[in-house]
Amino acid sequence: MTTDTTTNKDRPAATPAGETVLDAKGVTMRFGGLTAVHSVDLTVNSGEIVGLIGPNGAGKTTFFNCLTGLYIPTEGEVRYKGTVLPSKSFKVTAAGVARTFQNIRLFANMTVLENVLVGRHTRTKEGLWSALLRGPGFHKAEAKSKARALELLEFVGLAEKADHLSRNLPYGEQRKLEIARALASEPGLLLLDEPTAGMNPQETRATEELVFAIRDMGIAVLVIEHDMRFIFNLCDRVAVLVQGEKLVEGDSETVQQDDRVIAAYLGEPFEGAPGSTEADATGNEENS
Amino acid sequence: MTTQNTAADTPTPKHDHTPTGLIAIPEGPARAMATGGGILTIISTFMAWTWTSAFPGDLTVYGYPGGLQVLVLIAGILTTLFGLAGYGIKGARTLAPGGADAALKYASLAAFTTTWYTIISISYQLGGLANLDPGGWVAAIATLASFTGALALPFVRPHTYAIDPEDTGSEQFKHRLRNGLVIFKGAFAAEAPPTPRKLPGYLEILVIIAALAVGLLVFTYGIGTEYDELFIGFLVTVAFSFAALTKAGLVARVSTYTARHRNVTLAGAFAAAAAFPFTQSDDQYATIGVYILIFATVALGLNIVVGLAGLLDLGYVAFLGVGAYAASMVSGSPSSPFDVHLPFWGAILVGAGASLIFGVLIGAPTLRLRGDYLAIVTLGFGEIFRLVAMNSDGTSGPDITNGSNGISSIPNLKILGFDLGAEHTILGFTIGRFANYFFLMLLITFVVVLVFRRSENSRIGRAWVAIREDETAALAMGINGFRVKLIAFALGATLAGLAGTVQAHVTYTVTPEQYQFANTVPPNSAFLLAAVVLGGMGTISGPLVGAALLYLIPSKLSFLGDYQLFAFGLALVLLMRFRPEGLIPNRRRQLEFHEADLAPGDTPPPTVLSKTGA
Repeated sequence: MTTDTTTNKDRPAATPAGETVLDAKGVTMRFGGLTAVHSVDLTVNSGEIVGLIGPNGAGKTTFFNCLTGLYIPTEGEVRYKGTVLPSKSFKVTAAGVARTFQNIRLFANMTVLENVLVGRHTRTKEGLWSALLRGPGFHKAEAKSKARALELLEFVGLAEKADHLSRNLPYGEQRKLEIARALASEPGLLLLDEPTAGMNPQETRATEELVFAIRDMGIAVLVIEHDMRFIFNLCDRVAVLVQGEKLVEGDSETVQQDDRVIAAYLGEPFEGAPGSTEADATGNEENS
Repeated sequence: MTTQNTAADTPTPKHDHTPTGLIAIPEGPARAMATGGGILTIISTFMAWTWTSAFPGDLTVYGYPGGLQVLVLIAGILTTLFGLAGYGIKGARTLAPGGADAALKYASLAAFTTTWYTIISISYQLGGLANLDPGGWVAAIATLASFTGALALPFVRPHTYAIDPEDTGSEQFKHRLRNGLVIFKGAFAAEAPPTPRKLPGYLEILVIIAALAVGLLVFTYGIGTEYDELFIGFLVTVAFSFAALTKAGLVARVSTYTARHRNVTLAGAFAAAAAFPFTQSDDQYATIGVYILIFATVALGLNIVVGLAGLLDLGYVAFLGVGAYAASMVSGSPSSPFDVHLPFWGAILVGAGASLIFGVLIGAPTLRLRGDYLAIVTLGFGEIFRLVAMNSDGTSGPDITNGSNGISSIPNLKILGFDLGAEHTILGFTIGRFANYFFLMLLITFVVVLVFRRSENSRIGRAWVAIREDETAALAMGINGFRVKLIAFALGATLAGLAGTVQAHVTYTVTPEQYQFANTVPPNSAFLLAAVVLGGMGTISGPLVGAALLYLIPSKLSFLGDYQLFAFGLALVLLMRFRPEGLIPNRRRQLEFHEADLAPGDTPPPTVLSKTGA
């Protein structure tokens, strides 16, 4: 693991390949007596797309929330490029970790462009006085933000809908807008929480392309997903979370062939029960 | 309700869209009746309606209209114009770009209700129909004919669901009622007017100026109404006429122009407001003007907190109070504990500064709460302020605010040698004390409008709206929620403090009673919030209009007496039921509330995700 902090602060997106971007160590999250996440280690390197899978209720989203400062982990620590992440979600975003939500959380009554402009918040500084006095600096910063936001909308393919209310976008485009909004904060690591939930196969494929394009911009991606085909096409590495603990981590091949993963998703066959071998086979099929 | 039921009973053909009216009269005679009735209404207002001047407003004269007749005359003119527009007459046609029929219905409704209200109150007050002169009868019949004719005009019937014969009787009845309501609403509906073609810039500006002049005229007339009947008639006429103009597409047209020339509109609106004292011969109505302005300015400040940042503040009037108290204490009042007399600039800085500090002190602990909890805590702090002011009288507490007697005999302001307490003559017009303060207050309103406009459309304004929309997502986008909310809260408090400074000087005396949560006299927290909601959250003109209405209606309708708060509550309930987005809706809010309102069979708007933000 490399511990040298990056000097490239103003453009966190440009990190040299192979460097550890996110390093979570022993993250444990307890809610009263319930341990939702138990001692999970996970690293994400720059230029990497890492998948996080697991059955419903495995603690994936809780783990995400621990990473983004929405929850403060009971134990363990999360480092982003060598520094421990602060425990407030807006500070995490400012540090360079952006996220999307499992159930889309756009600012429904703002326009598409305004949504992305809100994402620019951490990368701009104009406060109330600047807004009231409207000096040249204000106009320059607004114009710059707007140009960058339009660029991002172009990138996800929503440029011509910039003036629509975000609530009126179709589902797939709302997901894209959420990604554009997250990218607006110029992250070094993007966390996607089920980006293809509710999408049809074409839309899923388009999202796949989008995630690859984001990776090519030099942004590391950590993605939660239930769509196995999507995950295994996309990810360089996949971690499996079952009942709050990390079961396996490795490339797609390793994970797909791991018996414990199959068991976690499909249940364990009885010892010597009739058809148990078939069950294994179908499990493999389903997962590939 | 009867018209609805008859409408429901007529079978509604599902595919056959031959348009018919609510009343079975062929289109030709119906249109003639509506238009002719309008013309006859105009004529009738020049006749005597009653024989004695015992009824307020002189309605006994042949030759010119008086009192309520003027209102009927205006409604009659509108009816006639829209009637002619319905015939497709060239000049009149441009009056109704959105279709004349719905507008005609509303205009004739305005004439009808105002006339019949007048006739009925004449007969009631003077004891019998015998008190009506021929003019009254003519007006009654003309408006009735006109309204009947307008109702008989054909309209595109909205789609209704057929009645299920297997339903129970009461279900079927409910269903009929619902269908009837849909059809009844459809009768008054108008199509969206086509987008207006671009006029030369100066013409558009002329249109805006004309609209503002009409606005000033209407407002001045409303403020000057001298008796209850006239004010009620005024409200009815204005409401229905405004609806008629809306249906005709004129309001939409003007608002596209104002959107195109925002700065011109702003300047024009302030020029029109500044012209108001010149239209008054004495200081009586300037008093109302300055109180409305204070109320409206504070409501606009509250709109930053509630409308933009979504923080429900029920104790907002306390900030006005802090500003007023702080400013009055340093302005040389004999009952102030401090023996200082700062000039205006000093006083206003002290007032605004004190409110700012108070805002931060209250905001810092309370803004960690969300939604209803915040509302309750701010309500509590608002009352705490009042009670502290009440008890700091030297016996129950330290001697600061002089208790319930308050800070009294606050001397008039002098700005650059200009004494606001004295009368001045400008261009031959006498400008009294209240008019002086009106101008000062207008300046403050301008500052608040500017602050609202500039902060709304900026990084910080977007952060406020984002927090209002979804606080969790806003935090995840890197917005420091607490900080941003505190800025909104403190900014709102400071603006209220500015208004408070002027208020202290206008009213001479600052007492704790002026700053209650709910009271019959605005401004108080409940009325401030109501002004924002009534006018339209997140808009500039909304709270201004809302405040004007909320101030004028209770002060003009003296007969309401003890039922004022009751009527206020009833009005709010009705408003929330029928127009939750407020009188002047924010573009966003209108979409938010009326998406589900589409009649069955209409095409829904572009796909909407129902679980957004769930």
